[in-house]
Amino acid sequence: MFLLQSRLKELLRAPTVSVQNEKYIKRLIDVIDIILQQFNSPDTEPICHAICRELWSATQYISGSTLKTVPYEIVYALKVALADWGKEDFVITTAIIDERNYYFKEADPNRVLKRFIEIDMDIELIQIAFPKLYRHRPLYNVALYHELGHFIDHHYKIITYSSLLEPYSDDKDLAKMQDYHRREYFADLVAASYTGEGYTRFLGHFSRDQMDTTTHPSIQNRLNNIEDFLNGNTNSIIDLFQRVLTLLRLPQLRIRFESPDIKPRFSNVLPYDIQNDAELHGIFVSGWEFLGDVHDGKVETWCGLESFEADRIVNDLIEKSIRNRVITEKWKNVHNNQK
Amino acid sequence: MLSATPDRTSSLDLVRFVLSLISRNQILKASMQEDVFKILNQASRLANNPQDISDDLLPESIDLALQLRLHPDIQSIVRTVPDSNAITAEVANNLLEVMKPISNPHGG
Repeated sequence: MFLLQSRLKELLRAPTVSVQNEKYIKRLIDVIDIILQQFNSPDTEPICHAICRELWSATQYISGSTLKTVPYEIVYALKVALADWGKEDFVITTAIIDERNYYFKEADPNRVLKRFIEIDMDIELIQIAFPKLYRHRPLYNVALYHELGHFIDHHYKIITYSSLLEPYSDDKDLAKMQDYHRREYFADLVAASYTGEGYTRFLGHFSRDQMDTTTHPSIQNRLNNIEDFLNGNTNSIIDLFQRVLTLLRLPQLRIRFESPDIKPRFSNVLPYDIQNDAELHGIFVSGWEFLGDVHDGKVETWCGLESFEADRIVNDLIEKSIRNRVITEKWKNVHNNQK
Repeated sequence: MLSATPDRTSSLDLVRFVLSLISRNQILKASMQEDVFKILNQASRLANNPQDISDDLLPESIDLALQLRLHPDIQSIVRTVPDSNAITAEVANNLLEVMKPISNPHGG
């Protein structure tokens, strides 16, 4: 516990720590002080260990969440999306990994702290990890919306609850596969509800030719399910999810994006002025579409540009558009608070 | 994860931990024992009727409800617990006995 606290104090001294993370780290340091005072006898050792484990897991990605490495744009969009699911007060920490994969890890030390020492951290924590190569490629990070879906499922126990309503097979191996697949379908639909065809295009590239495995349905089945959802058609999986969400008093899965017409701006290499939250998510849809048009030679002003360069510039314009939105919103908030 | 098994820890770990403290006669805050009772109670009701959802439903109750469905021996012990005071060291031990070997075949 001392070591953990000293590591956190070190992180606090780093010049690149963000304001929100600083607040979270300070709270963790205070909590550790209280624990060290209250749980210093051999009798309380197991509790101290349990708390320590939770705190440790809550600090995994903090060191990677410096001002220089956080992908603000996608983190901002995810925060807006999470608010739809009743989650507003939380910190997102990020880790950049060399692996070609994405993670969304919930850490909730509050669960333990509230019960054992009646302390509320006030803030919840979500930890995300994504490939280093995609750090400035927001279009490829739409996968994080899928991870957001896993987080929502895990947090509210949506799929576990669904298995009470519609149990799996009696065969254990088959049941396990059905459970995994149901979770993937749900995460896909959450991602599609925010980024529509932007997500399907990404998924098609990323998981191309993936066949049925224990943990994942085949890519074709996943894309079919998403297509049903985006076309407003229903099927037994979508029906089940909507029924579960209603019973758990959670929002329905529905299309939450509007794809803005970015072409006039992007064609002239200018960022788009995002009008609302629906467009914030929708810019990923429009961005993928625009990128496709560029590759197909449909954007006159971009003709002759190398594919890699076009990809970099489109992603850059997406980043800039979102960044402008963040600044405008902050400005509005400051302005409103002064009134 | 997009291409590998999702990383999921069970929320029941904490319930198991509290039960293990009770089984060792460790002094606990009354609120913690009440919390465990609430989870057992909610889970039992959910396992019998998934639509019986209370306003203050805890996520652990959903996880445990699934375990109760899969392992009726846990359900029979839970039925013998009318209130939080009834979660004695012996009951906690019995619950741990049946909850311990569970590796949830359905994930979560």
